[in-house]
Amino acid sequence: MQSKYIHTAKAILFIMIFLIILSGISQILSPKDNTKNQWKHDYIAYGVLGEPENTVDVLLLGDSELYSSIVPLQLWEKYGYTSFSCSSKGQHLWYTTQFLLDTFKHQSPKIVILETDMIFRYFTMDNALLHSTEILFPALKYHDRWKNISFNDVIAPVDYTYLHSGKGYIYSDKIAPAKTGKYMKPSNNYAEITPANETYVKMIQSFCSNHGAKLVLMSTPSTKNWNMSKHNSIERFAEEIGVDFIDMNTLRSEIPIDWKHDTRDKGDHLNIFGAIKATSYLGMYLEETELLSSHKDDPAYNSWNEALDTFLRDNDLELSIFDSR
Amino acid sequence: MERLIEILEDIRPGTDYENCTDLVDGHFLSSLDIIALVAELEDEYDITVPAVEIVPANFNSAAAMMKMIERLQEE
Amino acid sequence: MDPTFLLAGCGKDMTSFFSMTFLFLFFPACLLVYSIVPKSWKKYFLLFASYLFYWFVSGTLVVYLILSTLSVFLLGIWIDRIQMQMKEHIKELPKEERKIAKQKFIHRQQRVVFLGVLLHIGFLLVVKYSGFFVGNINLLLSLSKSTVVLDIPQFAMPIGISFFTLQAVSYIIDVYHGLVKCDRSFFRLALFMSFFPQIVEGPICRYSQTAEQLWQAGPIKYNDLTLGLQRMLYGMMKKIVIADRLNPLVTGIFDKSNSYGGVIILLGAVCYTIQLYMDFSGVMDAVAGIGQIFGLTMPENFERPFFSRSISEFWKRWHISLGAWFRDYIFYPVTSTKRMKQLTSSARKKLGNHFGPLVAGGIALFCVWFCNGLWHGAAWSFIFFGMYHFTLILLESMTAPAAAAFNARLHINTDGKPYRFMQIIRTTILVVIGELFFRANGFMAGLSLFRRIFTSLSINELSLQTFHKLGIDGHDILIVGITVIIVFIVSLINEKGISIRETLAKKNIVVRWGVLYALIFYIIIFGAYGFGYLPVDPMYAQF
Repeated sequence: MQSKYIHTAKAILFIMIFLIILSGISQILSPKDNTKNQWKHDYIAYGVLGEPENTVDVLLLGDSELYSSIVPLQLWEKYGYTSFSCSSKGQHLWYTTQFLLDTFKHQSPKIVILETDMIFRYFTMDNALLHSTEILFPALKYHDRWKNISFNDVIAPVDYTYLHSGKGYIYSDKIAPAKTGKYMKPSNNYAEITPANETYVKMIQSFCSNHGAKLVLMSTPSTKNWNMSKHNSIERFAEEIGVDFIDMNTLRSEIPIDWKHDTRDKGDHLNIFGAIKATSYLGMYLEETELLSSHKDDPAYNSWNEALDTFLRDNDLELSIFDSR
Repeated sequence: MERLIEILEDIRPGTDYENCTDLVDGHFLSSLDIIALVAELEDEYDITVPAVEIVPANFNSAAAMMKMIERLQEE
Repeated sequence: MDPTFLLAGCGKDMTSFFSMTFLFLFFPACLLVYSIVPKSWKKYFLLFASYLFYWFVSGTLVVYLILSTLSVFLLGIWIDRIQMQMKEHIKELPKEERKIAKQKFIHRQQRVVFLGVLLHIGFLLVVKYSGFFVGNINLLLSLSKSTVVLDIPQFAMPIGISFFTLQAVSYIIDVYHGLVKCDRSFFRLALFMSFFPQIVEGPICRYSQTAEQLWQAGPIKYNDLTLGLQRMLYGMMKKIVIADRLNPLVTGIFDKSNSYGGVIILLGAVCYTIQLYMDFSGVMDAVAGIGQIFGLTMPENFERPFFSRSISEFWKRWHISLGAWFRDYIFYPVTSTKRMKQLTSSARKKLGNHFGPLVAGGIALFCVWFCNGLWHGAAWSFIFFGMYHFTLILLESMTAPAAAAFNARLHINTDGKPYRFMQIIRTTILVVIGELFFRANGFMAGLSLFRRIFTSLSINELSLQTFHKLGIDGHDILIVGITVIIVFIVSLINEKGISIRETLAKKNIVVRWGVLYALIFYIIIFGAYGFGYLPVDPMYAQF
């Protein structure tokens, strides 16, 4: 009997030492900056970490749909709202959760917008488990950094220096017309939302409300990724959990997307022309919430004007493009 | 027993058959050797060795083989 | 959390022992409950856990496992009943009449065995091979200018069917031969058939090897736990650090084989051989480790095959349980038939002791290797793989006397190190060529790959740039190299007959724990998982 206690004690000690070493290794392996050299995966989305503390009022989370559809600097130009688009290709909701947690360490956004395409992206429980553990022990996420680790990683403090001049928006002016025959054809079906995705949205919702942020579900225009049955089930789900749902695909008069001109890849994603239309609607919505204020005249936000200049210059644009309809 | 050792020597020379106890498990006898051996034993001792008897336990040593032969002769 | 979440991904979540769900939820929960429940319940809990596991990986296809077990159970009892009737019947007969009287009963038993084999192998053939057969019939039809095209049937294949079908068949035949007593406890037989560590990829166990052990299910011992854990970690290292890291390279080369020359194809074949060995033997280490934690000794499936001096030795040391199954249920039964024995006797008189048995042996070997090829998958490339090894083994036997004479003439010391080394290298090269065909997308693709090794050989191809294109950088090569060397050294020491595990077990706690921590963190840091990696399912689960 006594040996049983000793063995239990040994097992607990073993696990404790394991966790201590794992935390230590996590410290060393975590990126000390948000540059591409330190962590190449989705470094544009991680640009949010480089923003000065408590300056981002609207956090946008989503997949490639989002970084093609919303132009944060247009919101700045028109309303003086600060927003950042943490969007990455094929984002899963477990990844969204990581962006949410990382961002809220330095920012306190008033509005969080979730692109709904992700709610239909399947992931396994195994993914969920691994990536939740990554939040506790970053070593599991950043383990590949052993390839370019330096002594600096052991001693240097964390200092995020990288800023993305598009605030997460990825510019494209390519045009590839879409066929719209079946786009948003009426339907009484409900697309299936997996329990895992449902659980994650609810977790994100409760995190937002605990941190004083309003959660909004939003579907950006796409003929390939969206349809009426997805609309139906998100509408029902949004009502059930009590959050706003903006479906830009149904607002055809408010957002007059010309599918022959405003998409870069036959309806999968918008190009800059479509994105400006979508963003101008989002601007009106944000204004109506009366939760945000303009920082246009605040000298502390001067860097946003500089970012706007850089963005226009880099992509060879005039300011008037934001007024094009 | 001596006759058995002779048969073994004849089929695959170069092993100490009197003392070796892992003829099969130690890869000294291949499956083709076993076929030749079974045919020889059946002729020599007037027995029938069914497939089910061809297991390492019966062929790992000369003594084990002798035991099997005696058992099969009784049947 | 929503409980349906747990069942949501059923059939997709837990195909590997190295998945997070298995390692951090299923297995620990399993160990915890197992150690808490009273001794007499432990075996039932193991059975429950096994079916739960099968449910997670296969969903409703679990029905097939239950039906399969039930049929095996009933067939066993049926055979046993005939055997009892036989004993009853011959008891009263005089000795000389017994043999003839027995025959009738033996025939009846054989019919039951035949029914059982037909049922199980037949089902396997239908779900696994009907697509292949119908596809080939269609090919013949189109060659004969017929306009008839048959529909290719699609079946959902229960995971592990290729493995537990063989277990089922071996049990029926063993009962018939009187090697094991028929099991009158349905649950014991069900546990033998479904035990969760071995159901996905084997080893293919015999009833006499594991059934009784499993049913004894006793408390977990501290030493078994640490040693089992150690073995699991070693297997994980092989799979996650080496095999999975090589995966993009191998997939890249074989999927776009036309864009690469001989050197890269050769590299692909070598890397695939390493990947397959590390993956399969890594999972087998995990199976043995999990077994050990529960106090079981699982049969070993690998015995350092790359130290083999010949192809026939290689197959005694690679996927041992499959080779043994074919040996016991195909090879010897074929050579022991009356006709084959007559053939052997007459051939020996004409051809001598060495070549005589080769006639019947060759026929039996052909059957074995045809089945072996087909077992791996329904495609001509797998059949070719079987025939390739059949030819090599036959050639080895046929040339053995000539080679021995040749070596004697030249006074070559066949037990010396250089000679053995040469044999090992030769065997390895032959195995790698076989794996090239095994991995190629079809037989014709394999043939064209093999041809390119000789026709477009240019060492210039071997640059870091080519590796980058294949998603592998210098660091990856380095870590794979180091880990392969670690595995090689461990194997070499074991090959010399020194058990590292036993030596380690005698060291003090700091050393023992140090080894465990080193393994764990080696896997965590250098494993190919998470961001930037696609998960790789265990390779043998698809066979």
